[in-house]
Amino acid sequence: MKKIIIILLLLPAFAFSQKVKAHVITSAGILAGATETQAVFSFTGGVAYKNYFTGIGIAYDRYRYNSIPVFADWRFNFGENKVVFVYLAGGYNFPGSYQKEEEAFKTKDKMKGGLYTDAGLGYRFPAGKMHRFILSAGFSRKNMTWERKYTYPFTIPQQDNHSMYEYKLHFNRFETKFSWEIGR
Amino acid sequence: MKKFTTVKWVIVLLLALPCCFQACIKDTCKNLHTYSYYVPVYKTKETVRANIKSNAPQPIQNPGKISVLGNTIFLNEIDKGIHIIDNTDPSHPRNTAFIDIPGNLDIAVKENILYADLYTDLVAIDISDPSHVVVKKIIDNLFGYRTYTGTFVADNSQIIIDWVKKDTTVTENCDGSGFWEPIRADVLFSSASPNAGAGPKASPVGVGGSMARFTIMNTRLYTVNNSSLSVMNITSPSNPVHVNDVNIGWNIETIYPFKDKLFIGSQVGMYIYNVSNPDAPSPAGQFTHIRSCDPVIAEDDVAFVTLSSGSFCQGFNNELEVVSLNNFVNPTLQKVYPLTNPHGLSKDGNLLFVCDGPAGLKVYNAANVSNLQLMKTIGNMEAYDIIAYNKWALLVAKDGLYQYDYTNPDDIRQLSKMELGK
Repeated sequence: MKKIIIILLLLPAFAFSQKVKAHVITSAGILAGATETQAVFSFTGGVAYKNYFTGIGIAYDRYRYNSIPVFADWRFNFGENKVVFVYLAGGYNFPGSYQKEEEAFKTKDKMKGGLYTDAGLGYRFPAGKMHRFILSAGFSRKNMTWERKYTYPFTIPQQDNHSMYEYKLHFNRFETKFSWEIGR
Repeated sequence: MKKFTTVKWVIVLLLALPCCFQACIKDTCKNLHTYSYYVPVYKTKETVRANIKSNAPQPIQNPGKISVLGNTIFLNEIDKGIHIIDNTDPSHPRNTAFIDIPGNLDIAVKENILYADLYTDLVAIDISDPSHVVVKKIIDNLFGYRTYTGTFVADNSQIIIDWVKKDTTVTENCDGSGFWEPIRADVLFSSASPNAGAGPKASPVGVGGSMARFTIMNTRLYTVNNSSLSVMNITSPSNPVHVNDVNIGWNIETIYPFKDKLFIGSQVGMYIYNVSNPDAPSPAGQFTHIRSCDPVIAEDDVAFVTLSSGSFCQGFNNELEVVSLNNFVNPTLQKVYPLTNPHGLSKDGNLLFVCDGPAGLKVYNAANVSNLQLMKTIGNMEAYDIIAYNKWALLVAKDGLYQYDYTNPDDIRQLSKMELGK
């Protein structure tokens, strides 16, 4: 995780060329899914070349179970003025802290991460040479697996005294994000 | 103006997207439930009965009750049968034979006859020659059929001799009803395990009904099943005669003789029966502090009881209690000693042996029961049950059978260890 943050911070330094320009994007938004509406915060650093942008980012996703997606981010700008763009992000969703319930005979309670994807459409509002505000909307999905194992001190009828549950959770959300982009 | 309108529409569109289409998406959940289950293996009654003899020795896996006759140890293998162990040399005990008795949980010995339960039946076996034991009598249907929670119904025309383990993973849909807290709806709890305080609980099936318990007082063998106390006249040990059944309540599980009384344990307390008329036990009292799964030994006017957590009785205390029995109807708690996770116990003279689970075996000087003095702790094992008499102790632990010589209580010596699985 440390390495990723260092790379993100140093990315602008790699963009010496006139053609390749460093950008950092800080975002806050809402995730609206079937079961709740929650906040998401993200930070992306990357480089832009012509109408393309590529970078890596990290987010704090509060939908249902806290998680920290780390992802690659690709963007394509339409037109000369690069106001409208589409984006696609994908990576791994690391589990954050979650509430463990005290439960008799539970011997394992572990949340595991999974695939993270995000895609959508955005619109830029220029605010000077270096700054732009972005309004974007899209669809995001994060996968998580909750493992629970029970070991009973006595036997369950016709069953062994171990029982393992793997809950494969798939969270689908629409998202709207407000971002602040810095870079030429 | 045109540009402003375009921007406005873009903003409206982007902001409206989540709000308008939120109802079109859903979160999904698939639950992979991995567990093992057991399938019964049946044999006919005739085949099973023909095989009750001294067969080749089997490794000790799940030891239960122990009985000792002379130099021979009879050790119950839960639900499988009885190991015969030649203990002529306690430093080198030999596992010499195995009597196949499916469903066996309990044993008792009088003279040269061993009594054992075979699911619903009582078997009397002549053990005068341990290498050639002989069935002398079988009393049918003395104990009730076992009942199994869940959907399993046994074929009672045959006998279950084993259970074969099968591993499986089933996929269940868990995304209904706002599922987000995982649901454990399919976990059933067995009502009881048959061998409280007597070794690892490893029988693959839950037992709800016939959990036979035996005790011998003079010329009578008393057994309890779920709701009744049965009396067998064993004046002629090889020919037990069923003489009476006494209805004594529900959830009866254990029986313990003391003077001219029987202590009968249920899950809610201990009943005391008077056996001055040995064929017609009559109620003499009851107390509720002690439960059936709390091992008890009694001597003179004092009972020692171990209470432990983690058993099917779902207790919370881990302690040794000393109970005064001056008044059977109203016994009083004399002293409590905190322990780790106590199970079986035994007393020989002033020495009290307590199996304290993972804390090992504890040996007390019990000359003054109000002030027990811990003399020795034998650790490095998980101790469950013990028989101690005549300066010799046989201990059942999680990893095997231990024997000790306590001729000198200050220097208790381990004589041998028979490891489980060998």
